[in-house]
Amino acid sequence: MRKPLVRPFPRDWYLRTRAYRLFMLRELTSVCIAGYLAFLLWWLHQLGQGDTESFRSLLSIAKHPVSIGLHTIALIAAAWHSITWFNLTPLVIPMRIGEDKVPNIAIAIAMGYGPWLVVSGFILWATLH
Amino acid sequence: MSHLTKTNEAFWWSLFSAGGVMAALFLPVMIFVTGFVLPFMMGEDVESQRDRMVSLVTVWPVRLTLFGVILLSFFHCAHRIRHVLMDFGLRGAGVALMICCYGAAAGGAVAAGLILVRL
Repeated sequence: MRKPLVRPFPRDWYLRTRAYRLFMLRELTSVCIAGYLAFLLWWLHQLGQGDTESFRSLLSIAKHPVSIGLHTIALIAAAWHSITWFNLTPLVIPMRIGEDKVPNIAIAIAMGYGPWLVVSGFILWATLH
Repeated sequence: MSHLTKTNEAFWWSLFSAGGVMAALFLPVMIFVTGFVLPFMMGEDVESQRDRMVSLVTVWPVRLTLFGVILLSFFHCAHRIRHVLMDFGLRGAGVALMICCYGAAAGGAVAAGLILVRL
């Protein structure tokens, strides 16, 4: 019998090409998002305490440079997730109108960037007005 | 063992996919609100800041939306983190890895439900 093929699986495969590095960067946005979700649970819990003291501690933490730095990282990671997600949508859900293929950019805008703008604008308006 | 073993991958993928949409649409602006709008753009009056935030978040449609966003995003992250760990070489730890990742996501979702109901 021939020797079975054992595919090489180098430990640093994801560093080897630009495409692999971008793939890994995209996948790792989930670590930042999970971290933010845990923070959000604490944030909602503090808000629900119903006393001014809990809210003051929430505010002073939000104003701390560490919070600003972590929120900046989380924002970049989340925005990168959104952009890569919307750009992949037309590849996962290709659409046709009659015989014609709907252009990728049209699907990305209609199912991604457009709704993203509406949701973000609405939430900002609701918090600021 | 057959290579066509039945798996639940489609189920986890559908949660991953729904969570990916929720996270993509909602999280950037939510991060901006908790990180920058609340501490720096809502004035200096702590009582009024608190009242505005509480009245915003306690509306039931908002609570339900937050619950959906948090639950699905947690499962989205769990799925991606599981696959990243497998890509890093943890292929052998399949079932344990699934229990850890999806279990943590389920725990986060339960915590979110409790917190949002009691707001």
